[in-house]
Amino acid sequence: MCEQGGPVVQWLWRNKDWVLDRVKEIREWLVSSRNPPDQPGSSLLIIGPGGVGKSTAARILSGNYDPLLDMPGEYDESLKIEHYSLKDDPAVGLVVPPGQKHRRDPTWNDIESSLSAGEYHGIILVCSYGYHSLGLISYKHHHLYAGDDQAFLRSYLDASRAEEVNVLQRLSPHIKASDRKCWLVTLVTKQDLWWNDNQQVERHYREGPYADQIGEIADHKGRSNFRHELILGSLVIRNFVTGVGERLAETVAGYDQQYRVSSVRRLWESLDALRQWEAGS
Amino acid sequence: MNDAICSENRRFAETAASLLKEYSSKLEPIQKHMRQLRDEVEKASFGSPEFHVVQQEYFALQQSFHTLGASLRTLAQRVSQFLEHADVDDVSRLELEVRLHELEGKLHQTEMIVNVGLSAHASA
Repeated sequence: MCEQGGPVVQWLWRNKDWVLDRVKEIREWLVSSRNPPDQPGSSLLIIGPGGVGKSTAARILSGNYDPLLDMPGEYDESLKIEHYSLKDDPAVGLVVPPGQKHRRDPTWNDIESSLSAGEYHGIILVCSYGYHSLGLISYKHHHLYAGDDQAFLRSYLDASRAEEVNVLQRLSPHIKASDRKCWLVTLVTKQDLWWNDNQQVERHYREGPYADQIGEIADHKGRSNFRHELILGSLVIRNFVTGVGERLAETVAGYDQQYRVSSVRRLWESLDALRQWEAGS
Repeated sequence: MNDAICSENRRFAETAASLLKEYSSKLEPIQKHMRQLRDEVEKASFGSPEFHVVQQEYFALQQSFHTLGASLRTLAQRVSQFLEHADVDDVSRLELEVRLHELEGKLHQTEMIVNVGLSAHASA
């Protein structure tokens, strides 16, 4: 039965050991050329508190979500570390750990060790100026709610902004520990909700405790080994609504798809520029 | 936070802990049954009446897990967001965290077992 087929099949069958050896060699060559053994791993870390838009950013960067064609879905909390590949360069992995506080120790510890070991050459720290999605819970059940809706929103945004600084503080020693040249992008999402306070938001990340942390990392690693970019934008346009339908804040009137598309373009352009800087050009 | 909301949060914590416990324990038998059916399909002679029965049972269990898995994922998200945002006392928080991580671990493991599927011969 095996000798049936055309002359090519018969030749392959007669020389199957030789053919299998060549296939094995080619496969090994392909694997080694994708990830050369003398080069550090090629991965980007997309990290941040829960509900800021990390998965959306990863889905855009991996080509799994087209901001022009796809409708934004509801907030869907990730239960585990997600893995994607960069759309423009599939050899570059995107690692996205979940951001909820109770998930950090179980999932972030290994990631932080990898960060210290220099396994990530780029970090995208996603923030949203405190507008962290609440998910399937009423704000009235939130520990900060004391009977006044507006007062709740103010305290929630303040607490969530402080949480963004906490995340950077937690990552900071691991970024400093690595000898590898690396960059950090602070991607501040949900601009459609805070568009009227754009300058204040920019100041919040360029001055104050967040910027102090960035400055410390830059001083420690040296300007030639570390770069930071701040990108403000919206990946989706959506009111700030809890998973049970309560509207806490609305998209600012006049913030349209053009602004959103520009945000995504700025993200791509910054990544390209940082990857060129990383390559030394 | 008023008493009514505190009481709702307490009730949620108790119900969630009990649901997480119940469904974590239900996932192990599903994993075992899935492995067992997969072995039986792989061993049955292709095209035999026994093969078709076991293969259909395998697919039915796979489908039933997909439905249950989606609901358990929502339960896990709901509990996670409760832990992240609600006013929970320390003991309840500890219990919910442990039970949530147990459920998520088993859910992930079961998804892997279910998604392995059958060999090309057995899924024909």
